[in-house]
Amino acid sequence: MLIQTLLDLVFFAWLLTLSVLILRRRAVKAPSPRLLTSKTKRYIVFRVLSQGQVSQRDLDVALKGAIEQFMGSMWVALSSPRVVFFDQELREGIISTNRQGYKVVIASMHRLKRIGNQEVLVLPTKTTGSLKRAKRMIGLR
Amino acid sequence: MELIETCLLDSSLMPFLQAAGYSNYLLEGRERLTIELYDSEKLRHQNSSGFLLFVKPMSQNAFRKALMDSKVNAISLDDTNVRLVRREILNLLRIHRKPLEILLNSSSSLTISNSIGWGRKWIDTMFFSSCATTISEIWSPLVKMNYLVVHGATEVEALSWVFHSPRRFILLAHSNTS
Repeated sequence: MLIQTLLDLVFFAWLLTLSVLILRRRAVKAPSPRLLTSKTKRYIVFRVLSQGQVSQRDLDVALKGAIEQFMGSMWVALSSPRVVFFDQELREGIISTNRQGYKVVIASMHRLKRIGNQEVLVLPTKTTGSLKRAKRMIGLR
Repeated sequence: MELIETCLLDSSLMPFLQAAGYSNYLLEGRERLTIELYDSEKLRHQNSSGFLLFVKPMSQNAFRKALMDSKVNAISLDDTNVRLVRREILNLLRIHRKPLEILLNSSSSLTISNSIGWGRKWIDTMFFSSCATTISEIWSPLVKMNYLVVHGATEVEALSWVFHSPRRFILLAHSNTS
């Protein structure tokens, strides 16, 4: 009788271990919360081609206007674009946005045709996830 | 990899194209010739030797004739003639494997998203051209790609239409003429 109970217990433990192992293997890993929120920062490195000087503030206003014109005010809020750095000598700069909206920001650049009274061409060159790397790309530090 | 802008209207914009990342271009009047075709008979008398002939058909009949004419290298499409595209025209485009050029500066988002659908199912070679006359009308390749992705294309499709199709078109055009 005792032997029978012991065997049952061993068998039960063995089945339990197998079940746990199988369920663990089949379990789908949840994506990390960082990816789910899509608030991860993206930095777009860009160049400006124009005849005259362009200021960072004018560029920021014009970029937001271009996105609003192309995708509407909702995407201006969702992508939260901001010109975080612009070198007037090199005419290169960095736009800060997020994973959700960086494609919209780049796609809207074709609408950015004028800043003030001068014609401009804004060329995105690279997109990266860190500001440090973005700065390195335009030769800072 | 060679990146080609398939339409440029002003040769003085060449340095800006290079800055945007293009290594080659087709200049209107030098490498390519675009005609707006209202009357299909006009095509018969059109001399296009030495040029890549782009036809922008403006009537159903002209569209059909342009698709069936071997002299025509590609069909240009924008908001002014997109309404002519019907199922029959798409069938002809597929049968004759005629390349399709979409003019970005004169096409609305509806035209772009329709063309993405056609490009998936019906069209063998499709590419997107700037046809820039001023610096601000130039489309950089990255902007083109993201513009197509925002309109519903996958990244693979956008990459193919922006990077590979222009090269494939030029190879095809030269193999047809030689």
